[in-house]
Amino acid sequence: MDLPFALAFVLLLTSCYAIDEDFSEELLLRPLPDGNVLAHFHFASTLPPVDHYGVHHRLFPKAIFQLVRKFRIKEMELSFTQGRWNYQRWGVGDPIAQLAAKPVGVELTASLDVPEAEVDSTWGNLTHALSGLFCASINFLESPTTFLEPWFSKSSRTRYGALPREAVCTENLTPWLKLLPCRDKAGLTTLLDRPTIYSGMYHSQRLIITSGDFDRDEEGTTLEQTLTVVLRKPAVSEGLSSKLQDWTLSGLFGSKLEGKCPLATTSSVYLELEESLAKHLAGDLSKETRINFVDNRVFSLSSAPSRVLASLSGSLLLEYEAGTHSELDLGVTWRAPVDWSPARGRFYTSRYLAGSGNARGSIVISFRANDGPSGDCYSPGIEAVEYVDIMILQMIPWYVRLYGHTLQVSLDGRNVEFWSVVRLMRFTPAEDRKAPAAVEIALRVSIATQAVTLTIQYDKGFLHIDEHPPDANRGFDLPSAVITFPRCRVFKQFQSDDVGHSHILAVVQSQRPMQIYSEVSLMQLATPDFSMPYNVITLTCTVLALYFGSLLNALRRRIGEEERESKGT
Amino acid sequence: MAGSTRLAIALSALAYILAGLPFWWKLTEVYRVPLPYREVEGFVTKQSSSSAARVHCQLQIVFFSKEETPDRDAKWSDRLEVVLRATREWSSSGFCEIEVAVTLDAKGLCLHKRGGDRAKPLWECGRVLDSLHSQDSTSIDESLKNYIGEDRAGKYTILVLLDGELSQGGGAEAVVGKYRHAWVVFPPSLLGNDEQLTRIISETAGVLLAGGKPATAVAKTMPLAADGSAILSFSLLNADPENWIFNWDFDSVESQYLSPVVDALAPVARLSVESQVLYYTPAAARSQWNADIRSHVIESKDLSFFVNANEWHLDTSAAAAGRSKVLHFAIYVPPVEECPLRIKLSSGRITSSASIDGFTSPLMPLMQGWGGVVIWNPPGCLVADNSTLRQRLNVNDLKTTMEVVVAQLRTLFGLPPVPPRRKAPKLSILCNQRTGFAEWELDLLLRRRVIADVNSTASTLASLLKLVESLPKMVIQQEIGVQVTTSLEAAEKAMDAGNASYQVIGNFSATAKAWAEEAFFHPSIMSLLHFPKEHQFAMYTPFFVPVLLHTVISVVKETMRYARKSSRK
Repeated sequence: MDLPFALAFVLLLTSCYAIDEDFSEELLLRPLPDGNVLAHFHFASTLPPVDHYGVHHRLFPKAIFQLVRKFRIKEMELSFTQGRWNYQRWGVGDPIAQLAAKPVGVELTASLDVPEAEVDSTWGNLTHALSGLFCASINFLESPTTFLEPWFSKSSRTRYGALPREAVCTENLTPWLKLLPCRDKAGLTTLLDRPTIYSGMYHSQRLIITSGDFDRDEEGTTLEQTLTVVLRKPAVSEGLSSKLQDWTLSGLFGSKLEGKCPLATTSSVYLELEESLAKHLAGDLSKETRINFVDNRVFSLSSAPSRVLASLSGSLLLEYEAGTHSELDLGVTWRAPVDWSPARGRFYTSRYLAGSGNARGSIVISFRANDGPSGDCYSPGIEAVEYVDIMILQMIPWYVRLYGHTLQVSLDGRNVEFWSVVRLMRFTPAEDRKAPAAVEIALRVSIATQAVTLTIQYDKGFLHIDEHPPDANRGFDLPSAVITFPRCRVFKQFQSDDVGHSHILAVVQSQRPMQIYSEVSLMQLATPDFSMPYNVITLTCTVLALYFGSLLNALRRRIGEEERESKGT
Repeated sequence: MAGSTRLAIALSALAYILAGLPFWWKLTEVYRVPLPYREVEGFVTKQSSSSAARVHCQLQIVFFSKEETPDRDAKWSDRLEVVLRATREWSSSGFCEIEVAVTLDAKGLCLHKRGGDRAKPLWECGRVLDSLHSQDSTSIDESLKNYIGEDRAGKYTILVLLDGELSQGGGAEAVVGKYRHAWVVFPPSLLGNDEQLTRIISETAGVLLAGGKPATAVAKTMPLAADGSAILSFSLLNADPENWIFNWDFDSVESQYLSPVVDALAPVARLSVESQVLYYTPAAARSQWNADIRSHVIESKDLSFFVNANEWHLDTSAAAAGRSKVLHFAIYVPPVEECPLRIKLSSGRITSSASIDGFTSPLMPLMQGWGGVVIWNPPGCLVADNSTLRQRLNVNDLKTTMEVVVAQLRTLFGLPPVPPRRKAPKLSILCNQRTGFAEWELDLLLRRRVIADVNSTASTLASLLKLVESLPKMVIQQEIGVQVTTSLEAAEKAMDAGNASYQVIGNFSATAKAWAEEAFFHPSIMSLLHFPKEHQFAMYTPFFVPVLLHTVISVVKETMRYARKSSRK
């Protein structure tokens, strides 16, 4: 949805293109305030333009290249997620959180360079190809009731679809790893111990493809594969009441990091300290001596970083080269109890269903102002920010029948005139069994607003008996709402310009609007008795047979005569 | 009479049901397009009775002498008759209906003999042949091509040069060129020996028309998908990239070695080429160190375990759709510890001449999607100190490898890997250095493909109709009927094409096969195969059993009553 920014990002990458293919592997570790540890793996393969380089590659996966050429993919983002990103405790307003937080299940966004009339059919074929490639039921996104054309994307060739129901497991990870030249045989991927990463609190694997214009092929193709896991804090050792636990790589993943993938041009590990944590170190900081990262009053590290990057806002990135250390076992030992909070963004967002029963209800999306730091929220061109822009994209399945006139906005608990707050709205009603409803709203509220609530009422529709999933009584998942704060750009600017070829740093530095996904809600519909058709048939037949029998008997039998005959014999 | 009225009522109820039965039966029928059962049956019997196809071939044998021949006309006439009879035996085994014409072209003498009415002499007497002395076979081949002129699939020429000076060592010698002609150097001094003459000519004709093999000895199917296409997928496997990483210049390899082959095979098969480089792909078979030849040796019996299905992620092609065929060619670079790696053949010989070893296991053609494996040992097996050796293989490094690959491709298509040589009678076959396939071999392959296509069309259509017959409740859509008819028509045309050009016949047979497969794998058939009979019983019993019970009882009762009454009277 943030095409211009993603394109800017591609341009940023293309500026450092060499004539050859390139592969890099990076890992970012970040201690979270609740004691858990975030690990973000970032793999990037870049391909020079086909005109210069040809169609035979040594590093870029053949399968992805063929997909890009066959379906003319300009941009594609596919994510598999398990668990829910905890925006309050793990952060919103920093680039890694933006990249990591995805709605549960499968989410696919694709922008295709095909004639407008063919976009839907190409999308269908693409979903089939992807579901074969990743052993997932992405092909369910082929049905026109599951995807839509987002309005805010400004490109009519973009499609967005989500499958909240999809369970994510190792069978999706293995094909994803297969796209890496070293698979899980060498380098950072050797840390990916399956039981560890799937028992974590959050798990999201992504595939991002960006390729240039197909007619003027000048930009080449980039494939980014990221995997974000939030690992549970190590088991509490006795006697320590502090909520922060010491951790090491081997303690978290079960193995140390040995060597690098020989095919990667960069192979680095970063340890990120958020600005509110880095402030605690400031006491150690004097103008002359630099912070002693290995051993200071807050924590001590098991090995010294090869360099330190500081962002303008104050957060720190410690870089370790994976290749130079024959064995890297990065670890943090806490010296003093520290408390810090992540960049939470201006609003805490949630979506829930109100009402009871199987007939009707309402969907509520609420925003509550956070009291903590609002994070790196940078609005270009405006010095004093007086208002907040909010864009909401909500896809609703057709069996939830929305009533547009019931759409209401309330600010700080008071209902307000709808159009005084809403700047733009597109309401696409659903078509039964053909298309989902799409609600896209752009709001503008004053910066002093403490709470915003949007409500819309709906009736629940009835489904045909064969439209129910196998476990119909579980309920139906309502896809996440995508909430964007277009004026709030999330990025980090580093003091030293030298970010090198690091893709992770390029991502962190690129400006993108803050985006939040709401929870997936479960909706109960009236579930029929699935043996009903047969019961109806049986009942109808019995009634008809009874009627026929009695009619025949009425025509034929003479009671008096029969009695006479029985007496007579 | 009162009794007969009631009997009539009961009987009319029964009659009503009986009269309704056909109507009800008609209602339960599903839509089935009428299929051409009789035509398919006729086609199958016709096809199985005449195993040899009706593809047309012309063979022109010319005895050529610049001087006057020592023998008289009558003697030559007999001799030509003998040769005509001897070559006729090949008509049944060369996959073609052969027409032979024999001509004597000597100074002042021109004789034609024809086998069959349609055979026209293709040779005009009195041409002047340039001096062939002091030329090697390849140049003679080229000169003869210019000399014979018209070159058309299915038209072959054997030139018997009655010239003592050309023969080396004074004996008879035959050479099969890379176009559609062969020549026999026969010294006039040996002309008295008719048996030797006919033997060498019929052997040459056998090679030219049938590859020197009887028709029954060749594999029945070709490694092609239903539409006559296949993807050649080349993978360079770096078994262990820790010590060395090899990469290749596949663009040049493709344009230099593979494109000519693909272009040459175009009439027979539509081939496309793709490539990838894979890393960390150890072989599954263990080798043993052989101190005598300072090599690691793999026994030929272990070769079937060489392909490591767990680690070699060769993949099917994402670019190909549907039921396409991928032929994998793996070029395996062994790890340092196993270099050089050689194969011990079943004969006990160890391949050790070059750095290249290839094998197409006898199992390979049976395994889906396998072309062959070539082991490429880095020259000298030298490792750079400390750092990883990185090398890009160029066209020259891969020359021998690609020769092995072309030989493997020839084997897959049922030809000998390299053209064989024979001692008695002395017969050699020229290779086409550029494409690997001589033109007469391509004709042979096309004829084989036509036969295979027609056979497979017949068996597919026969089994489709058998399936349709066995499932009377299956819907057969209009489309399937059209496909079956189209396929049948094309197959009939391919069989009766007679004198049509090979290209036309090839198109007909390919169309026939493609449509037959299309009909067989029609989605509507696949989905309706599992419609259980129990379902129908469950639907109809609740109504029909009670109704029939009532009716039958009433008829029986009324009949008994009527009989009793009439007997009482």
